[in-house]
Amino acid sequence: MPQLAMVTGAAQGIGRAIVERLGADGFDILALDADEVQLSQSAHDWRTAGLTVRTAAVDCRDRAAVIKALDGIEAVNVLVNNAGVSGILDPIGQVDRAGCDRVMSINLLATIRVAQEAVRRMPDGGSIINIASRGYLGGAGAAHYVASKAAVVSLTRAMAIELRWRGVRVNAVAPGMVDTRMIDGFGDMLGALKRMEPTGAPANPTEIAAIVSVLAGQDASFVNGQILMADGGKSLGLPPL
Amino acid sequence: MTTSNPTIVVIGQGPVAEAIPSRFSAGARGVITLPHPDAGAIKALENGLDAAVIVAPPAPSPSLLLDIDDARLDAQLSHFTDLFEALGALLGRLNPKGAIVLVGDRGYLGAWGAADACAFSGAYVALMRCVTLEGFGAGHRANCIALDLAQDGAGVDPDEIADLAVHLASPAGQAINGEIILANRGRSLRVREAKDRRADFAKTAPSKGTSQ
Repeated sequence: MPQLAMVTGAAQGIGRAIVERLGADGFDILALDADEVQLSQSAHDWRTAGLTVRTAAVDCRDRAAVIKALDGIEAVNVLVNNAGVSGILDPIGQVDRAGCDRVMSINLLATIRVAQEAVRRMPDGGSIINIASRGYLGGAGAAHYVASKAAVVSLTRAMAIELRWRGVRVNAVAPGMVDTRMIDGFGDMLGALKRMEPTGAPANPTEIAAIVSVLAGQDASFVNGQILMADGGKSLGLPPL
Repeated sequence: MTTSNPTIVVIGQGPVAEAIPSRFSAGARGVITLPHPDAGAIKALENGLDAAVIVAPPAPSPSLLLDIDDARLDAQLSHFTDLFEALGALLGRLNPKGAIVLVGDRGYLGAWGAADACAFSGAYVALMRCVTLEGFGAGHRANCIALDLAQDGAGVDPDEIADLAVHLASPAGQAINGEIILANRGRSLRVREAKDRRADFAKTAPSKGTSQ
């Protein structure tokens, strides 16, 4: 019987690539996304490709909606907490309370709530992968986003410590720049930022999905509580090629 | 405590926060204290600030992941956004070479039974890294002091922590920027764990265990 992988922020970008990779790995998929239209379009493509996918248009900040999406599901074997936003990228003093609250609510509180509801249904030996960001190390002009992703990193460590007694592994992937719609928010800076990448270009979402695939499976049974940087070496201070 | 023309602000409550102002006052500088991060009060200050020391609220009581409720999460988020707003206001009021010190905890490294507290600890530490980067051009500094989580039961000497905070906030600490200083008497070195492991090892191999 196929195992179930639950993926949030599944409709596009990294999340969509994860759905397709885990589906190809043999998982049945529960795909959650707040964008109902995009989710419907992606679901059509997934089913055409032969994947077994159940979808739910859910804002993961809403615990009741998450619980409803899980209705009838007995076991969540893998959870990928991918849903996230960058918010408006401005210095600290120029980001208002609502902007900070929104980014923290989506990137952190929703991650905790989804993890809680998935863990209630997770058999021993499950795997949780939180999608953080290389940005958690710090950056000017994005403090609320940086803080939210650093929180996800610390959450990952704490969950790994707590859940290891059940054999549930919790790891995080911290991508650098990835070629998704999120980086469109960089506007005019995008070209320059791409050139600053050590490889000269952003990663393809499928590269992040491949890492998630490994962490989800038993080949990574000895990997727990880790933050896997996937940034082309930028965190090492590597200059562009 | 409020003095005229304050150039230093101490934000927070509890023994550590209470121990800090007198140390600054010894240097005859004006200190204002705020019980909570209050962006409005900071913006209303007439003078620029030389330093700010913020004592973060203590971590909530231990809780298993599955027992953390939404009210508890929302309360911690509210504390965080208060601090976020206050830091924005502080950066706008800080004099050149001014310093901000946050007294937080080591939860960012992870801990059992404190997933939410650890997450917010990580958020606080990262926020201060961003403050360091955003204030660097103006000559500002920002550092963190990381105490043990309250639920660890470790005693904290408020005077020691206050001395450290004042050092980091003063010109004497100007070489230190963007750091997280663990102030927990070496517990992060896992001395207790090392002792336990050494004792276990000694039971099975006494000759080696007692000589290491």
